[in-house]
Amino acid sequence: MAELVLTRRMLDRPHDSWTLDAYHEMEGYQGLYRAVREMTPEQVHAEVKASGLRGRGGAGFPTGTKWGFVPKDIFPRYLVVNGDEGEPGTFKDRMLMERDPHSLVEGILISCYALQSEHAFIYIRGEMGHAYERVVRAVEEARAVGYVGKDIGGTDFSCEITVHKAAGAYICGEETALLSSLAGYRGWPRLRPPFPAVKGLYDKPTVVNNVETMCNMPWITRRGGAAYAEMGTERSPGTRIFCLSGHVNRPGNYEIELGTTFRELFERWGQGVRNGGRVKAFVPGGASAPWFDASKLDVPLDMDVLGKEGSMLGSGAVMVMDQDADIPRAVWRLVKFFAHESCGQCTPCREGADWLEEILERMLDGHGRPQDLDLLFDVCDNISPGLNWPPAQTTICPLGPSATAPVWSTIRLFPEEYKRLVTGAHTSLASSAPAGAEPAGVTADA
Amino acid sequence: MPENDTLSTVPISLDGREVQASPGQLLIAAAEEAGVYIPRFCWHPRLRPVAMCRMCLVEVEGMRGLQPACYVPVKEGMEVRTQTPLVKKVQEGVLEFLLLNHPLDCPVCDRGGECPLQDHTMSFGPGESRFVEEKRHFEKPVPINNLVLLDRERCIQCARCTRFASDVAGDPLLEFGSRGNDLQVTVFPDEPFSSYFSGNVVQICPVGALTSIPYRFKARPWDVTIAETTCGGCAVGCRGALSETRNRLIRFLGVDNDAVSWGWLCDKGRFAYEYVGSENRLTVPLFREETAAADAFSEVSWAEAVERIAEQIQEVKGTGGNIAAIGGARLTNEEAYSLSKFMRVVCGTNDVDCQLDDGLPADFVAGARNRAVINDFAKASVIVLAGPDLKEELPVLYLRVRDAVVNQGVPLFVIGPPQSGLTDFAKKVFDTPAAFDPVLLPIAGDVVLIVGRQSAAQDAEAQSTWALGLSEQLGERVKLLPVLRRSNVHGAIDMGLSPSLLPGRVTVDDLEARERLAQVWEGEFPPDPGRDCREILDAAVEGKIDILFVVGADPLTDFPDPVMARRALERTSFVVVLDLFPSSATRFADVVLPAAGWGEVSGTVTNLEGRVQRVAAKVTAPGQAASDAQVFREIAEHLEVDFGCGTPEATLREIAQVAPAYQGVSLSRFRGKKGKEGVLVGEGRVAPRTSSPFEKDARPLGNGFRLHVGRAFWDRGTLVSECPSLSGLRPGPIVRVHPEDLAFAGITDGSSVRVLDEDPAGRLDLLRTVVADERVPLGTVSVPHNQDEPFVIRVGATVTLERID
Repeated sequence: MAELVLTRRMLDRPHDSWTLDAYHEMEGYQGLYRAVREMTPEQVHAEVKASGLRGRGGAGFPTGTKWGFVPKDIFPRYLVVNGDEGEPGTFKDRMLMERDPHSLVEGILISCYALQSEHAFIYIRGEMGHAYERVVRAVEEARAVGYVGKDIGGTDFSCEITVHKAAGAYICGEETALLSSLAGYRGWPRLRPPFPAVKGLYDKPTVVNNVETMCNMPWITRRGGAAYAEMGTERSPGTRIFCLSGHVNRPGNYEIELGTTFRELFERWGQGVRNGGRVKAFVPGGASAPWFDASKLDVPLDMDVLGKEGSMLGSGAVMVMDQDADIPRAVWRLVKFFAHESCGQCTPCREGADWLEEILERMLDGHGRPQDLDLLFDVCDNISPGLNWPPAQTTICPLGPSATAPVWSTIRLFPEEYKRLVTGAHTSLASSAPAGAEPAGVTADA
Repeated sequence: MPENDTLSTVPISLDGREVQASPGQLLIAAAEEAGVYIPRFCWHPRLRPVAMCRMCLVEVEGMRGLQPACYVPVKEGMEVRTQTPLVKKVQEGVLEFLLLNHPLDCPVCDRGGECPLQDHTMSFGPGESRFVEEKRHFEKPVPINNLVLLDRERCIQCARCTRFASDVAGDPLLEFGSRGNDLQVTVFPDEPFSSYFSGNVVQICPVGALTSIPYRFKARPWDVTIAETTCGGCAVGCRGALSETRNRLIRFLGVDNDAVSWGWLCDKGRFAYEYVGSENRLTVPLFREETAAADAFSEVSWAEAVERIAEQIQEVKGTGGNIAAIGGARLTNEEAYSLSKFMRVVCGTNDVDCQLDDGLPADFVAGARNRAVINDFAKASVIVLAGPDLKEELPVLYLRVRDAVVNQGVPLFVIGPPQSGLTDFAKKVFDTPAAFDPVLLPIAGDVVLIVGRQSAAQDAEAQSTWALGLSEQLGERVKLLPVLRRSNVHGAIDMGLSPSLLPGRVTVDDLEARERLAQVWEGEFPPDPGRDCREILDAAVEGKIDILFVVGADPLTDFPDPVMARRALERTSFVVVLDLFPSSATRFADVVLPAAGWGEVSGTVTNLEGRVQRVAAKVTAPGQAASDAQVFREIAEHLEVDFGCGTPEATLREIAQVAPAYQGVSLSRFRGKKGKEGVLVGEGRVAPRTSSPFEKDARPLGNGFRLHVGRAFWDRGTLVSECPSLSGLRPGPIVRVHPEDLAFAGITDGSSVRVLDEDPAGRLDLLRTVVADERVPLGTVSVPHNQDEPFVIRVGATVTLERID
């Protein structure tokens, strides 16, 4: 097992890991000083590139490469940290912000140095009041001792950090919607080009990185990119926090090395399926990802491998369902989430996501028709032509395709469960659960 | 210029066919020019693209996934496919999505029959819906202001209206609320869509979600006939299409042209067609009986009216008396020319004036060299605006200046009182021309200088000489645009309805012009300038005017001294009023003749750029109302003058023959693509006036405030007051004062004040509600004109404010 990069401090100091004192005692801000005092911005950037670190927000884009897209001579430029973690089943950034906010602050300062940005913004999901308070406090503590502000560490590098509490829209986790929202506009995704790296916040070059991505920076700066790249797999280096939820005995956040298999994640870390049951299906990388069935348990947690398998590692949220799960009902609940969170800007997602929800709801209510399966496929296809992953899309942003992924992937994997709903077999009143109920089985156990 | 076109275009492949397109142009527009229509809802050629509706998705070789044609610019060699099975499927899919929640109440929808959603469904749609669930419901319809209703069930969330409101009009009062499936267009709580341009959102709505109250349920598209014409609301000259059904005007829609209006109209221009069908129109000639009381007119036939007027003219001419005419800015060029010719040839006088001492010197307007056109705004290095409040008086000109300044980044200098919607974007604001320092201008590039009468209390002479001085100082860089307000006032000046000018921008003493006129005009008229409006009324007060023609004008309202105007009319022995409606002037008339107006008379008009555009007759005038031109011709014929000008077409030919600046203007030039932009007239031969430095007019000493009298968009003018939908919209009798001045004077916002001329001879005495407005310059009291009873306005007046408890 590799070293813990992200969660060591909160495990060692569970009662005060978020304080500056505790952070100082655990190599806190040494990475920052090393960067600003001993390295040039280019050298820091080179270390990040060498680490092979890939973004932890969902898309998995190599961070060092992303930084390289910023035009050389346009200033000011901004770093915006995406703390709008809202994907169902994802709860790692919240934990990092609550328990280890200083590693976020240090990571931001290091990144700003490398990017030659003098102002960073942290955009925190509105519902995470506790995380917001911890981050604000960490920034104030860091400012008080001179890590944030003018002439950091006695150098001529200055950096300001603004913490912004968002208003609670899932779509604002999409980077361009986030930038619009942060600048005071409606939180709608923007058309690309221009890309944020060229024209982002306030029309200036902007890098948007995830909280977890930032929290890796102190370690990489202290120990070097090469050491980081030794962990994990060749194309997915490092460790990552996986948010394990669903029908496992020990759900939670686990920092593990990339390349571990799902089976190991479920059995070793999740301590097996509840009641000794078996895995029927799992969501491998957040609510947006196409589902897998048990045949994919030995697939390694590797971004590229998952892509080849037709899904994604996404935000690192892994949801497990055992043999009792009502797949169409679980899918309906996810689609309902996406329909509710659609920003409404473009037609296919605004109208289509809601229609998918209504069709599924009607089927679950016992009014499925034989043509409904073809209809579901075709509505999905009109949002995401071809029904593949990574998806094609008729929409502006990937939210529309995300709403379709659970639908088409599960109709393919579990056609019988849907056919049951459209052939009249489900019309027995006894078998229909109340609308909005949890998947069958959970209530029985509780 | 075909050579230029080939130079600036590149080949692209469109569905396997090579076509030429301009690099940077949006694919959707390039394809349309090449004959391939890509369906669309949110894209509008005059709005910022947003690619929201997803109807225009196409495939582009080398670009991942489907691309919105409204957002992707043309690049050389790009391969575009608009007809693939995938594109077709997506189009059907998007249309099915859009129709899911659309109520399909087409039979009771104003848009039915001319609806892009209907049309696209027929051309690109799936034909049948698979949606069996319940549609979205909203309260319908809800008013968003006094003129426009919103039906959110019909809305397809294309953001055309919201973009128009924020990006074009600068009135960001329409926005989206909620999100996802609940996304809806909305106004802010307790804040209606207060915009002078609100009708445009009805026109650009691709469904029937926005409907106008004046047109609602009035007609179906297949019941109307349409003619393209030019708006007569002000001097901008916006193009529009006038709809008629059963001989009534029922709708006016903007027509896109590059030169002037881009398809926009202001709400006054759009909805004022209502006055044409007003019940209060004059319909028969009226004659005052010698013995009758003030208001007792008797109806007479046209023959009798013409004969009696002709007799009067003959009598007055026989005794060496004076005949004069004021007004004429409402007329078409052909009618104005007829009046001009009539006054010179039949009445033998230059005492004509189409302005009521409320505009600019006519020779300054007609003699401006190196003129700007509207399309120069966006190319200028700077715009210097020393005009009236454009948003209030020349609304679509405001839109074009706003576009240049806000969207194209042209710096703006505002001189004088605030410009609604523009002052906030100005680089610098100067209270008076005297305070302006040209050193601040960019060192190179065109300077567009827009000059107008900013206040009825302003010295127009000083304003124009200042503008000329600035032009001289900066030389050829300056492109001057003198702006007047009334509909065809620029055309009227060009037709010689000015005491010092003859038709075609030449002075009355211009020998060449007189010689040419002598070949066509049968009659003598003096070579010296005649009286202007103020001089005519002055003479009338002294009893020196024997016949006064008042043509489509109301001096008792619009002349700055209504008391004097009234006395003048009372003391003139024979007053002939030609108008559409009874006015305060008709009360003093001896003859009232019912005139045909906008929408009833065809011909041409000239806008403030000097652009000649056509107007169309779409309905017949009510009763016996007739074109002013016909009236003057018949009187002339009665006096055995061979007047000619039997039709507007013949008159235009004569104008082109005798009016130097109008040489070559002919009906054929209004045809074809180029003709859509109208015909710019040439320069005349009015000598540039002498310039003079603007006198410092420092803030008056003592307690006096500088008086500013500007126009408000909604007032008591005929256009507004005779339209049922518009008559209630004027702000009413208020005065605006800077809050600091109010505080200093101890007057609270919203209280009643008395505005009194400091000069005891000034006679200005008003009771008004005071509104604090920090855009009003310090030391100024701003009174909107024509909100209630007219008042006396003295040029350079200073006033005091008194609190009324």
